Amino acid sequence: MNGRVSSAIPGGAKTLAKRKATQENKLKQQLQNQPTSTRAAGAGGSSATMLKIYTDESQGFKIDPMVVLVLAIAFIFSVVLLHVLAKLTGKLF
Amino acid sequence: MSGIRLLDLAKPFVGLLPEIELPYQSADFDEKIVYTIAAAALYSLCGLPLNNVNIEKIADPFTWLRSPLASQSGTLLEFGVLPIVTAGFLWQIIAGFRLIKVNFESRSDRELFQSLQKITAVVLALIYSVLLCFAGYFDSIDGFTNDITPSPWPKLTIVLQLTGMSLITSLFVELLDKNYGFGPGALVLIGTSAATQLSSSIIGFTSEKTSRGYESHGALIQLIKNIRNKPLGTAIYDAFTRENFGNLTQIYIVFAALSAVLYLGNMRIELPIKSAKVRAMSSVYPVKLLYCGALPLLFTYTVLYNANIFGFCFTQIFKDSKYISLLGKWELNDFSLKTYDLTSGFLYFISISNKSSNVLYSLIRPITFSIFITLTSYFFAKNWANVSGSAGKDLAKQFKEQEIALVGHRDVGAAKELNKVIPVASVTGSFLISSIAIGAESLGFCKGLGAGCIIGLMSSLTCLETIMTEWQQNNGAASQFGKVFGGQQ
Repeated sequence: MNGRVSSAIPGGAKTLAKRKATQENKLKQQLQNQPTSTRAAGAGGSSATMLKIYTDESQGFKIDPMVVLVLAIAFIFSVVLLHVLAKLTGKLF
Repeated sequence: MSGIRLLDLAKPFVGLLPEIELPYQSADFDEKIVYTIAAAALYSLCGLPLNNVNIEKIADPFTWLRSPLASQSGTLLEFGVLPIVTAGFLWQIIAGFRLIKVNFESRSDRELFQSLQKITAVVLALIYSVLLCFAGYFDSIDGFTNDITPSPWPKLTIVLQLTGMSLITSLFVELLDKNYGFGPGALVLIGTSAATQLSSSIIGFTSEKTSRGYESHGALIQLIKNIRNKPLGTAIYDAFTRENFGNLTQIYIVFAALSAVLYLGNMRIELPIKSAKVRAMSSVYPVKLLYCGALPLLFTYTVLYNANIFGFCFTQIFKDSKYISLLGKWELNDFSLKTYDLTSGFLYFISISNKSSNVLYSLIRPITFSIFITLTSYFFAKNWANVSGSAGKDLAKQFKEQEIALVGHRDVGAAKELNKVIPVASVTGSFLISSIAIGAESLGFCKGLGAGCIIGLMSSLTCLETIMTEWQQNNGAASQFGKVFGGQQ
């Protein structure tokens, strides 16, 4: 009666739906672009030809690199010691 | 966020794990060389026999898988780097396919992810060693010595030694990965072991008593010994065909394979790049044909080794089951009493074992083996660039950060242009490298030495790359090492 009502009413359910769709798309895109490896996140790590596994300093008790070498030697000696003990006693373990 | 993430399962154990500190400042060239050599030497030194195992009397079902993963039968290196490499590949691929939620941008997530890999490596070693103990792998196989002791102690010490060793190995790998030494740790260890093995099978002086008298480990040494003691014809024939140690046929095949790999390793496409800021700066960015290097083959052998360990243990433990022989059937090699040979079952068809009662089987086997190797390498190469973050889009991102542009393309076009080259290179490269490995291995002469040396060589080349970068960036020529070996400049 009072002239014609425009077909698209601003606001309302349609716009909300649209906004939601955009938001979802955006989230999806973000999920797609999330890095899948430490290298992709820019923190070093495995590359195409390298398998670099341990590049971050994680929690846990921190040790010096020298300790690793000493630990390894100690481990080797303990195994040698076991051999010697086994030889001496015949059947200790 | 609901539920518990798989990643959080690692949290309680994190405090128990030894963790090497990151270096405060980058170590200098000499220091790195010392650490690398020390780690590699100590790793090789660990090849001493396990306690409570009679190394001369156990039979080994995995001879052909050992060389690529730097392992030695009956020693502390029983698994070599297998647990570490398996854990690394497994979690990286799972995360790459987004099967678990890891936010790599958050530091704490990255740390947890790393701890998870380390825990998995140790747990895998534990599982392998327990399974192998139950399967009777560590028992002496001759019927005379009575090994069935009721005491669980010997088995327990074996498990402890192997688990401890895998922790030590993972620390070695960590040491080298964290820039105290050169190159990715796992690859350095594999390269070292392959080099040792190859040289020992050519000129190994050590000898062992066999049914034919004392035989040297080195093929060349044995040839010289034979020429002095036997008629010439037999001497040469024997050096080419002996079964128990390295023979000259293997050496020739290995050298042919290695030269093919070296040749292919030099092939690359050079994409012209220029600086986005400075006008006259231009250079090339090489994309190698073997884009993934040794990794596709290493991955394939990791899969095979795991399948064989589990297969062997299950077939030994569930001997009575009717269906288990479909998986694989191992028979003791009557001649040498040193190996178990696969004779039938699923795993037989993806192995290089030559033995079978069935003629048809031994005709099909090289074909199925080749197909398996090619397909697995293909799967890996197709996905690894994406999974590891070295695909076109990641490189383009790096280019942008470093203000480099491909000549003739805008920022947006760079990823597309790189994506034209990289997937093709990585798939073709892995196909070529696996064909070389197949050529060397599928007839069963090389017993793993071929694949091991190919992987070792490519790993060493990768490490050499990092060494050369270091040399150029940190003024390696000024280091003590550079002064001694650098020559006149």
